[in-house]
Amino acid sequence: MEKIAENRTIIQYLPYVTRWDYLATMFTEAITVNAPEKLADVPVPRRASYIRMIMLELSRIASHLLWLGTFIADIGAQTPFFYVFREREMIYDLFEAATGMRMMHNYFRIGGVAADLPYGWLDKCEDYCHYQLEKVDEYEKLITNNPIFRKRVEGVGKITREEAINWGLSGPMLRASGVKWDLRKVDHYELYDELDWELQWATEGDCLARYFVRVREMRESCKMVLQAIKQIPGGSYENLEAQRVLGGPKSEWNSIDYQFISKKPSPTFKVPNGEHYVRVEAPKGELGVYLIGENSVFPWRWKIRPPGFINLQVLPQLVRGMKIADIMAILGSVDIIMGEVDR
Amino acid sequence: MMKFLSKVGDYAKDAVQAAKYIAQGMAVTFDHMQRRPITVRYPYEKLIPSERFRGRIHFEFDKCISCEVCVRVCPINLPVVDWEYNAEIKKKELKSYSIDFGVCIFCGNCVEYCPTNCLSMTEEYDLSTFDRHELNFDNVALGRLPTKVTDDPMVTPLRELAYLPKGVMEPHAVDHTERRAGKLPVEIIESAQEQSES
Repeated sequence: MEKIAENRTIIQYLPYVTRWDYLATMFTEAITVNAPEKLADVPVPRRASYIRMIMLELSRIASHLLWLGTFIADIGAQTPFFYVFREREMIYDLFEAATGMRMMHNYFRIGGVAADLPYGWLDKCEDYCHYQLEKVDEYEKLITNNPIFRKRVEGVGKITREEAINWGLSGPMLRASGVKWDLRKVDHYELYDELDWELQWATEGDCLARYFVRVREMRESCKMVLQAIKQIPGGSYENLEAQRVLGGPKSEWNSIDYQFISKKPSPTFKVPNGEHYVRVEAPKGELGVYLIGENSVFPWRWKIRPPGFINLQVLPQLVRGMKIADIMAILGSVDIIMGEVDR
Repeated sequence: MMKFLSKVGDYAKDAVQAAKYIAQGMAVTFDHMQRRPITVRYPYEKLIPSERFRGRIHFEFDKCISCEVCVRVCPINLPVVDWEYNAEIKKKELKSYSIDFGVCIFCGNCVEYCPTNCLSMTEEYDLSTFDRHELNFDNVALGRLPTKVTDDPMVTPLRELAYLPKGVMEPHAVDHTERRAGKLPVEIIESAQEQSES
């Protein structure tokens, strides 16, 4: 994937990136546009940033949902697997309506997103968030206190705070070990500062703590999406269009903040000279790209820092002294996607 | 002796707790008996692809100006544009155009960047054939339109979540002709004007 990037323009490369982490697809796209965007100083309209945040948080919920399903299935409970797919399907329906495809969206663009939201989309998104909050409670009722589940995960795969930092872990793996580190809080990217939300963390550092962090993050993400729906500049797309008609050609609703993209990138968008590292908080951890440009349409170097790959390195230490059956629980709780481990 | 008894007591307490929590979990499972199945029985029921759905590409031969932007934005430079320069009219003349859908990933870049909009996405997604070479569509095959799910009398069309009315979470609950969530811009304008008049 890194070598493919070196002879593709950013626009050509965008459809590829959803294959790194195919369960949190929006994040891979976000980092792919953020890297050249920051290097070339392309402005992002506020509305575009809000649309991005909504998409990213929905994608985070989708990723955590699927993690929950497979993690519990690995431990031996098949039922929640079907429940989470039901909800995940709804997120993908929303994605399909907005982007045109369920998993390989190709939605983010340098300077914004590919298209504004369809009519009625925000209404349905709001519906979904309320529905999802209810469903998370339902999962918790089903799973959290189940004695079999507890026996399988409590105290298994423990990792201390120091170890977690030394191994370079990130995301829920790190937060479950008592480190309050979330790039959304640390880096202040997009407009996450305008939302009122709390960082989710735990101190135990075992599989159960990681489970709690992820389940709580799902709730938090739902709340963030609900806030973003209320705060998005211009409101729903149908409202924005109506205001534009009412306001005439010189209305404030045509200003940059209400656009979904600042300027459509040309097919010959050049990655400027310079190098830098850009990162986002993906559901699995820190997803970064180290980009070196040399003022050509192709990036000179495109180094991907996938969270799954680095989180996986700690596995040999976690399984030492454990029973064979615990490997499934530990590996499940690490939440790896082979697509980004061997990108 | 007391130690043994307390052990038995603890064990019994644990067992009762476990039974309680399992019963709580089972309550969730049994609650599903009064819910409708959410699955779509595919050949008889079909989901209506969304408006922006990126299916097989449609191509209009007459609109194409052979600029080859579609080739340049395609991740693998897939479209084959065969043209010849016509010195008399000083224009490129398109001879044939083809896309191999066995290789295409339906990213939609070509459609987005086409300057004359001669490319568009259809809602056709079932492209399976017995021979992969049949997926290499020439400009005649690319010009065909797919059938609509809503026109097929054999199929019950179902809508996806984003197109359902407000508050409805699953497609079986309402007919597909019922109005979807959200107002039209026209209606928002009308209500705004009424408000300013009154």
